[in-house]
Amino acid sequence: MTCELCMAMQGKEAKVFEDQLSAAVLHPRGAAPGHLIVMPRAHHSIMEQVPDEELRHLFRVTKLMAASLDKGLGCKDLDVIISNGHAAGQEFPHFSIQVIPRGKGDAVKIGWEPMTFTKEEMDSIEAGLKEACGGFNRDKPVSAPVKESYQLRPVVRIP
Amino acid sequence: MEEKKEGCPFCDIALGKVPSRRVYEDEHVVAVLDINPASQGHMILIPKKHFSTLLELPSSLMTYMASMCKQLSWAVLRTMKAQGTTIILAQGEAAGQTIPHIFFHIIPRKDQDGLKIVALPQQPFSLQDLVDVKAMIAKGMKQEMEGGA
Repeated sequence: MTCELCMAMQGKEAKVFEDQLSAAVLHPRGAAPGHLIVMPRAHHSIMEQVPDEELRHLFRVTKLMAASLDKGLGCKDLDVIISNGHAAGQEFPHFSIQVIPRGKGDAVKIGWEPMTFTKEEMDSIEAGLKEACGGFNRDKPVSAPVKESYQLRPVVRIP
Repeated sequence: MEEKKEGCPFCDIALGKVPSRRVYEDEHVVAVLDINPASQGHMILIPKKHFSTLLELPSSLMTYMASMCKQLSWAVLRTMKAQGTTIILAQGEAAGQTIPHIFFHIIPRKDQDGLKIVALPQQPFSLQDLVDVKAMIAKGMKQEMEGGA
């Protein structure tokens, strides 16, 4: 299977930035001029598979891209979006961070109708997440056991 | 950068001055349940210090937030039995940022959950469009890397 983002990294026209771990390319069908895709060089499908060092680097590059859009296009307003997994509408089968310049009245739509939950539901969500998050160790980040991820199959189905 | 900004609701949350459903906290960040959730388990990850844009946010904190986003995403996938996450940071008025304190949404997603959180138009840019905008961004990047204004 050919990955569009792995291919995009080979090309020169749309590539804005690259280093040993990452690359940033202009989205060929972007939502706005300057719509960038920041991605790891290595082909990972979802965030849980991206090693911490690489992910940290991608966030650093994202910050650099935000500064470059500001200085180069005079664009201060933007969205940083990670669609992680098929269920989240992930466009490419290659993990990426989208940086989208925004302007007043543009056609980008991001938002949701707030859902309401009962106090009991919220209590239970809070308790569950607190427990799951409580095991974090800054120095030894938890890595997702890749083989168990049920997200993978849907992701690789994306043509 | 400011330690905290008077009247900023997210500084108040970070400092515990207003009630919130905190699910994670350390010396740098706090994660709380969103009060207007897009789905069950929707969290926001907030740096404790007040930064209004990514440009102000120090690189070290940005990279720390990377690890935290990954860990919170994983926690929410397991706990909420979600199949994906939508992670969003909005900067500036045009992006709908109403409170000038930068933060990440971490939204659990399920297959066919019917949520249309991100709708992006597709613009058919010509090769020339891409080349032109790339040159402008490259110029901005050069300025940024050289520390110019």
